[in-house]
Amino acid sequence: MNTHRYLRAYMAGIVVPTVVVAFVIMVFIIARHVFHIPIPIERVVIFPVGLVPSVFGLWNMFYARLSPGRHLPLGMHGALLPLILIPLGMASAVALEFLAFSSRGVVWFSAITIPYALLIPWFGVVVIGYYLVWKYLVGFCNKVLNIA
Amino acid sequence: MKEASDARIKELLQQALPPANAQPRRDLWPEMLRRLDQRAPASAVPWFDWALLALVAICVLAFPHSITVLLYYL
Repeated sequence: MNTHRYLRAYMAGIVVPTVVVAFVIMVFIIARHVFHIPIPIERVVIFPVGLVPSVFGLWNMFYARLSPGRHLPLGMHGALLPLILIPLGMASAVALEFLAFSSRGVVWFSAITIPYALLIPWFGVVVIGYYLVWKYLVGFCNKVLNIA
Repeated sequence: MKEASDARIKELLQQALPPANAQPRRDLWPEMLRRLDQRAPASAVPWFDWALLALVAICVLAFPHSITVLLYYL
């Protein structure tokens, strides 16, 4: 169990987003067809399906690459990931035309407006969510695959 | 003369000290497992992580429309 450490780290990293993405797609479909939020699912899922799991895996490989004395605790390590993912996600959302900036705030899916004043608390919620997910869920996978 | 004395001392020491037993008198592994189990609650979820989870839950409940945006990043 001491071989292919980085492959195991990648696999441990992608488990959580890969499992969650099915739930995410379900929520998007319900939001679109039940609550009539005009979410362009075929464009929205590109980021959570195509990019997020890979980034999780690579970020966990990076964690495994750092020697034990040099890396942050896993939760803190994961909490840094939104600093990369949020700009990437917003850029892809703008490029795919379901995120716009208006005078009242950021408009997602032409329906959900997040006022600019709430962006920083919203960012904090994402960071906290990532901290908890990495500390407990990715940490569990790392333990199972003998990474930690 | 000296060799005889050394041999005598060795003999006396062997008589005085109990023979070393390489095997423990009982199986120590169950005791080890019991101690590990006792230590497990210390690594359970600390209170501030519960507080952070509650904070996230409150924010999601206060702004339910943001759920889709949050899920976009997972």
